Amino acid sequence: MAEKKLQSKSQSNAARILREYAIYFIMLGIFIIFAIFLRDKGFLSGVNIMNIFRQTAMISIMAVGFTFLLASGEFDLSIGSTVALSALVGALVLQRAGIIPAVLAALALGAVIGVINGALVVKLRMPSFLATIATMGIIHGFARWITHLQAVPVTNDRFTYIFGAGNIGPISTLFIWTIVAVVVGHFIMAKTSFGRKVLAAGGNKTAAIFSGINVTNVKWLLFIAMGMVAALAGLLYTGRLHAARYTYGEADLFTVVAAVVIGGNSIYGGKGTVIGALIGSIILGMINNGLILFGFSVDQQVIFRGVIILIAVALSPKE
Amino acid sequence: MENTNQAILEMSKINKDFSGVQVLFDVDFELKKGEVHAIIGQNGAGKSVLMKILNGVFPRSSGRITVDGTDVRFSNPQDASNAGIGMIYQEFSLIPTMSVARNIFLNREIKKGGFTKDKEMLSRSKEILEDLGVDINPRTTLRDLSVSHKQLVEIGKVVSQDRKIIIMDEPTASLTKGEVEILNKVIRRLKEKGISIIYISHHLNEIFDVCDRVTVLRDGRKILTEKVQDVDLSKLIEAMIGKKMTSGIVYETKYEIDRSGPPKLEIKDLDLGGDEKISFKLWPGEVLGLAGLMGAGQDRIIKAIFGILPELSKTMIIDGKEIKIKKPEDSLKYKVTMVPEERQTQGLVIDHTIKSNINLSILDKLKGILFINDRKANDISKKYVDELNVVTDTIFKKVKFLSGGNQQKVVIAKNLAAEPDIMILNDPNFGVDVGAKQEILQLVRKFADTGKSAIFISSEFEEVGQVCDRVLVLKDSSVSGELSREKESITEQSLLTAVQ
Repeated sequence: MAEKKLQSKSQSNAARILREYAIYFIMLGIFIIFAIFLRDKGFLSGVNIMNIFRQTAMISIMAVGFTFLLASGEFDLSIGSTVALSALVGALVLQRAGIIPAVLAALALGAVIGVINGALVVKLRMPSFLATIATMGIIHGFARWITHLQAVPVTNDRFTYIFGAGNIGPISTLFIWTIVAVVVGHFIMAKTSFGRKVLAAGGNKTAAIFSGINVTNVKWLLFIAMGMVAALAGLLYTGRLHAARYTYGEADLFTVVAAVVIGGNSIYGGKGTVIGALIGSIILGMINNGLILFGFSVDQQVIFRGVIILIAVALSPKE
Repeated sequence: MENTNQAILEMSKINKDFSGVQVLFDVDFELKKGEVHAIIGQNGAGKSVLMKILNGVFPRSSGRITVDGTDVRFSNPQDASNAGIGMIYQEFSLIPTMSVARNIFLNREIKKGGFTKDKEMLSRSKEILEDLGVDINPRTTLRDLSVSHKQLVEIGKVVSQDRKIIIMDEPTASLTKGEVEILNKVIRRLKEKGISIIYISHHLNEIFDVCDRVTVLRDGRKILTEKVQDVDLSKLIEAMIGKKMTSGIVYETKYEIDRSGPPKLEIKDLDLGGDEKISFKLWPGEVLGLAGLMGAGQDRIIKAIFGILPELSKTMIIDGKEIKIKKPEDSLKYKVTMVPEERQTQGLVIDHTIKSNINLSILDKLKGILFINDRKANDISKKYVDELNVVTDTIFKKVKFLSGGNQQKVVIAKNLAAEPDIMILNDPNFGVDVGAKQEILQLVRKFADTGKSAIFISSEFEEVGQVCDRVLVLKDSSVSGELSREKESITEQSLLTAVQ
């Protein structure tokens, strides 16, 4: 009887591992398919790989911040709007006062948005989903209003070099930003006491509180960090595209959430893998890239992306 | 009023087992028409299983049930309802967002052509409630009512469905003395209407006020059935506890408690809403028990101390200095930790590892310059896993795969890792296997014997006697007495008597 139990236990163990990593296997499969069929279109070329990193940098960086917030059990739906508004604010300050004030202004704006989101959630006890839908709308409104829908051009070469358009040899500065964000994020999550507090807060808020963790402060900090990370993404878009527009970040929320979930984070919180979020982001970028090379139209790409996310969520372990 | 009434319900030789584990042994129970018959017994005596069989939730393994002369066999609660059996649960089966009238007619709304006839339901509800002698506006939304009134609505609902037999499970658990009187009046009204009531309660004194007969269950067996006027409290308690050959081992106090010195903790004038405010002291080396019936106040005292109910007014003094604890985080600063009532929802992050859980309260202490000192974290976890005998091959196992007892030990390990001066334990042995129970009690004693202090609550009074130096007896949100190990043995019997 005991033997039979052992057998079925190791069978279910194998099954469990298969399910947890299923998404990676599937993605590997897609990668191989793309590599084979798109070889002559240059899918595997160094230039294309670096392109994939360029295209995914903003998502990857925001995914790092979002991973933390989600791990603590909260959502921030306002990140897309924050990207747009901070891009515009950054560009406007850049024109008048130079790079450092511009960067400080954008990050400060992101921080303030985070303070407000945090206050709504931890002080007023609003569900984060609802609170950030509201702020999303308000911030978007400001982004439209601040320049009356006009784009703000950026001619400061130093700025565009640092924040997105530059290259050091074959390596894009966006690649460097991505790596820095992911490394910092990973170490905070995996190696610091703060990271453990985040995971505890999301894993079981009551137990975390009863164990002496200040969940209120932890969550508030994460909202502020998320705001600042979104602001950074806004600066990067501005640098890369040499202008700030109110449309930046519009579709990013969806992609960021997809990346984070595909990468193995749980929407219920308690689990936090920054590396996973990066992988999720790259997978999505790679699929995007491949679909373009295949010649799919934008609409078809959107459908395909949605299907991928559905599969990823369906396969993710449910507790 | 004494009649030789017929029996409306007869349960004969009821046996029940769950996968080979027998929980009821040849239990006989008889309910006469128009009588109020109490069933009492310790937790685990079998009351709840017997009632669930009667209510159709489980089938019996063997025996007979006869309702009003007809043999019955219930496959589900609907069958029991159809046979005229109704149940008033502790967690009422009412919808808080609906009105009283809609609740009374839940699922059997008075309709005409698909539309509900609200006016008629309102007036019928009013009639039903008045019939019980109760004045409640049927338009009121349920959640706006007091607990006592909610219960009366529940009774109205059940009664209006023509139930001949009503089972009341712990009906007075959340009621004040005045509200209990109202309930008793309603019960007497029901008797007059010929309804028979089975009354399950831990409040033994109340049974003498309103019941006709009482049956005592112990360890799945019926011990006695008597008319209430033919027994007294001590006879009932004796029947509930029995003469246990193996009483729990008393864990002796090894520390020299010096009560002439300064107390570690002093609580003054804690206001729980009872007749008197609560004040007490706790010395180093002591395990202080808090014992009372459910709702008597012991639970709220520790929540007040730990910062979960900071709104309760009190003065708190630790080591001679007055302090304010407004949230659990503050408690830890003052070296007070807690093992909470529900380990899965309050004590553990169930998806995380043993190591992760043990370290929860000391995360800041494990910090190096930038990162957590992983080696230290591992060492501390291993140390406590060994010391507390947590059965596992690795500290990286997720706690959801541990047994209840081992899970609880992880919670205690988390507490001990924070090196508290005062440890509060709220029913730590609930849902814990027998072997682990004794280990946990020994842990508490060992902790106190190092000169630390503990506050201990348990629903098993025997355990309270095994491990506590003193016990404060709680009744109706005030302290009604104190037992001390130095003066007399604290036994299950003495506590059970004291809390009534």
